[in-house]
Amino acid sequence: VQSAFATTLRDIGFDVREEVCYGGKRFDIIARLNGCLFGFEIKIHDWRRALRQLRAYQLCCDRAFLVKLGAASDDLIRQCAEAGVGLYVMNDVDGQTRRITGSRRSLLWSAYYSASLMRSFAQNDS
Amino acid sequence: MIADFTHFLRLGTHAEAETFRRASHCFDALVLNANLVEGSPAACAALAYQLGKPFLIDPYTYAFAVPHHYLLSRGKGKVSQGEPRPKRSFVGLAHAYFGENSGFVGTRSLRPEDVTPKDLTERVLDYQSSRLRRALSDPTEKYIAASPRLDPSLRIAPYFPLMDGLDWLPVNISCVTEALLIDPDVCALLAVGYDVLESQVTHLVDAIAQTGVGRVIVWVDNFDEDRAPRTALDVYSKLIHGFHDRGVVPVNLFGGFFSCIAQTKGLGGFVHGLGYGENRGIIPVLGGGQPPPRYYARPLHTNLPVLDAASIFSALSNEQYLQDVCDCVICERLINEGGVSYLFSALADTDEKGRFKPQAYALTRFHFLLSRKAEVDLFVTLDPVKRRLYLKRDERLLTDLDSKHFAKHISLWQDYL
Repeated sequence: VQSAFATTLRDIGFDVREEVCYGGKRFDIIARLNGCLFGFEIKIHDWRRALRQLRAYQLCCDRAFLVKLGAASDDLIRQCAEAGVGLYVMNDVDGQTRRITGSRRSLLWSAYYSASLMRSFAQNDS
Repeated sequence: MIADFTHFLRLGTHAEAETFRRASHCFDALVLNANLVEGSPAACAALAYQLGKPFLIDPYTYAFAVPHHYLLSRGKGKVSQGEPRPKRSFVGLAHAYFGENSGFVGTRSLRPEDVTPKDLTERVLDYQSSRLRRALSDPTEKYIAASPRLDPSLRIAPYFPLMDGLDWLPVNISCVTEALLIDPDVCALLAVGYDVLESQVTHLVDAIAQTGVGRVIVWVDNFDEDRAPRTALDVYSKLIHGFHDRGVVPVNLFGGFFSCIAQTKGLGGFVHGLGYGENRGIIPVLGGGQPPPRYYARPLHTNLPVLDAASIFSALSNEQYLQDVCDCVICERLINEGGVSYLFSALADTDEKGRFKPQAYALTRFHFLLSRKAEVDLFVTLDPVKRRLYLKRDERLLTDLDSKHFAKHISLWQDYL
């Protein structure tokens, strides 16, 4: 799921890194576009845990998203909206992705974390 | 002298020694593992002498009873990468403990019938008393070598693990009995698997207490007090209380903040490493290298990845953080320089290759020691009602920060006060 989604992002013009480490955490996908950082946590099950993990993304990414395999329940959509986390779902048959909700920049976002993550991102270039 | 409730710090590698020296006021006593002593006796002697604190040497005898391949190594760096060989420190220890019968190391593990308790006990206790001194053979070091600072405060009888049954218990008991004849203040060490402990807790307490030993160090295999369910905490508490009831002071060899709570059951102290080593498996024998910096979250009483901690506490104002989370000198200085986000970004600072900077290691370690010292000192002075309120306050803070899922253990621990 992760590789397929990373490919989708690359196809639409994002600069993409997988498994980016920073601050003792490993981020599934970090993507850069127009100087902004976008974080994507991939989950097949246990989306509640994913929402908790996404708080770390929100510290350092301009936008953070959950990518879930299969359908999205109303509860999931509501909680993503409350957390300011965007939501994509990926069809488990044909791999098509669909955006369900958008993301907003978290109040937790900090330029300190963002600059550090950007360094880790750049390091993955080499 | 060993205090009533003793906070021990275990040296993991000599890379940590400078932190131990600079933060020596943050712990009561030092623990050195015998394999580290054997590998670097002069450096261990120097640290013990400079700290001038009570210390003890864990003789690590259990390592010879686990499957022998856990003591093998292929070497590192320029050393040959060929056939795995027993690590030199364990060969040296085996020679000290078993003399000319030490040839089994690297080919098979020790069996109970191989051990002569009297001989082994004499050698193991002598090792703890003399190894650091023998490392200082230079004439210029003779005054240091003669210093009482190099006398361990307690010596530990040989011990072997009770993992799948009680096969080693008679040997362990014989060793404690022999050790008490040599040194009435000697300490027993119980290294036990959880399943054996659960089924034999009363028997184990009786067997050790009947030797007449005054102090026992307990090591429950892989016992993670932060994640342990109520049933496991009950069994552990029964062990601690059982020893206390029989007049034996128990000390936890791998413990964290729950050890402060377990004082109420009679625990007399606990040992941990520099931000890690609050639980450990009996196998593998050797650790996995230096862990990355983690942040000790005082309201959670546990270490977290720095960014997880940042996601919990970054919503706080500077004043709230210093009042409700931590006001150690590290946190205070960094917050005054740039606020809460700046604090966590400094603790997670990486170089251009994505590796944690040495400063991040240093800051997280000092923060850990200062925080742990503050909470241990405070908790010891609180009465039971205030201890409960203290944990309730932590629980409330985490609930307010929408992070209660991190603190399930805090709710559970309150039942043990």
